Amino acid sequence: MLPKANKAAPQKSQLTLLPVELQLQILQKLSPQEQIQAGRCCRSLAKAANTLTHREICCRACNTRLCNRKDVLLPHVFKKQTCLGRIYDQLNNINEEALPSFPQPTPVMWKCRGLHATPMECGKLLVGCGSVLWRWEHRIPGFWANSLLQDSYKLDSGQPPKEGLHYPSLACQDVRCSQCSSRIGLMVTQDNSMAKENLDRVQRFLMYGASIESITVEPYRATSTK
Amino acid sequence: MAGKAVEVKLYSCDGEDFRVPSTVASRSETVKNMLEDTGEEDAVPLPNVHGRTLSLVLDFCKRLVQYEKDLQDITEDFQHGQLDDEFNAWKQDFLDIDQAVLYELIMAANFLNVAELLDLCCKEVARLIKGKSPEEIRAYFHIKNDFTPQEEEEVRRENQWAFE
Repeated sequence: MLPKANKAAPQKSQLTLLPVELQLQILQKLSPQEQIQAGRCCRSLAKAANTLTHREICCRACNTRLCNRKDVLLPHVFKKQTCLGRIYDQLNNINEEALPSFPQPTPVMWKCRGLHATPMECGKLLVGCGSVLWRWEHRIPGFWANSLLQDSYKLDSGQPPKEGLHYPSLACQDVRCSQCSSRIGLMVTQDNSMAKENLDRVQRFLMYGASIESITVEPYRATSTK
Repeated sequence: MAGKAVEVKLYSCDGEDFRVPSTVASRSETVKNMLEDTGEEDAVPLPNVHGRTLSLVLDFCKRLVQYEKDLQDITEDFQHGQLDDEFNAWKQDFLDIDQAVLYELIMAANFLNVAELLDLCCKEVARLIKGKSPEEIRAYFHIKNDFTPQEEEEVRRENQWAFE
């Protein structure tokens, strides 16, 4: 029987001497935030942590190789695969109880928490739940509700929207950055009555420092139906 | 009546030999493959594993085999939780080792391909990392900060979102 020793650390770190794949296995047991904290300790762990947060991801629509860089991630529809699990973990690492239940949530349900580098600075925030899709596009000027809708159809069904097929009653909400007042984008809701409810939801999503400076609600005009 | 379990002989790199039931040894995929290749009567040399580490690995495998056997034998649902509790308590005791041994165990579990042990040890290291700042992690694990100040600032800035 071996004597039990106390958990004293050796004088030289053996953690960083472990092969990277074993460091990875250890870091995988941590939350994304904890992985990053560990990655800030030294180059060896940074490399491992970086590997975890830059897994290969392919777009479901165009098979483009993506990573979780915030600037390339969201324009694509992800192929749901194992490596994406971590992204989902990150996105889903939000307090579920603080969120209202979505109407008929589908497997394509993205919720944001912290994938964007700084809150709303990049505005890359995407939430889809089948019939309702929210998207903020801080850096894309001229972002119209119609294009948002088209995107949402593509996301939901993989098909472009058919002419005349639109949500029956929609409200567009112009969301602006609280720091620079730039227009962040539009939030589409199923009807005007949902605007307040959705605003509450947005506020919950913006738990990382940003707040909505101004919101204007106006009726949605489905231009492509004309 | 069940026959006596076949024993196999394992050699550590420092010349210690261990006789264990093949059911226990076969918890290591590496050993299992070697036994399939060479037969159970031949001694299996394990040049990457020290005797004291191999002893721990085999302790774990024995307990795991026992746990799985107990699970098969239970007749009531509540016994399942009881067995889990006992096994978890045992694992806690098992992990009461110093860090150097823990890393040796990780390496050995990886080489011997004992998935449950590797997972357990990695979880333990992760547990030791949890809740610590980078400075605390460095201090606890004796990690030398090899970032330049510029690199450190860059890493911090890139990951700012995680701390807001």
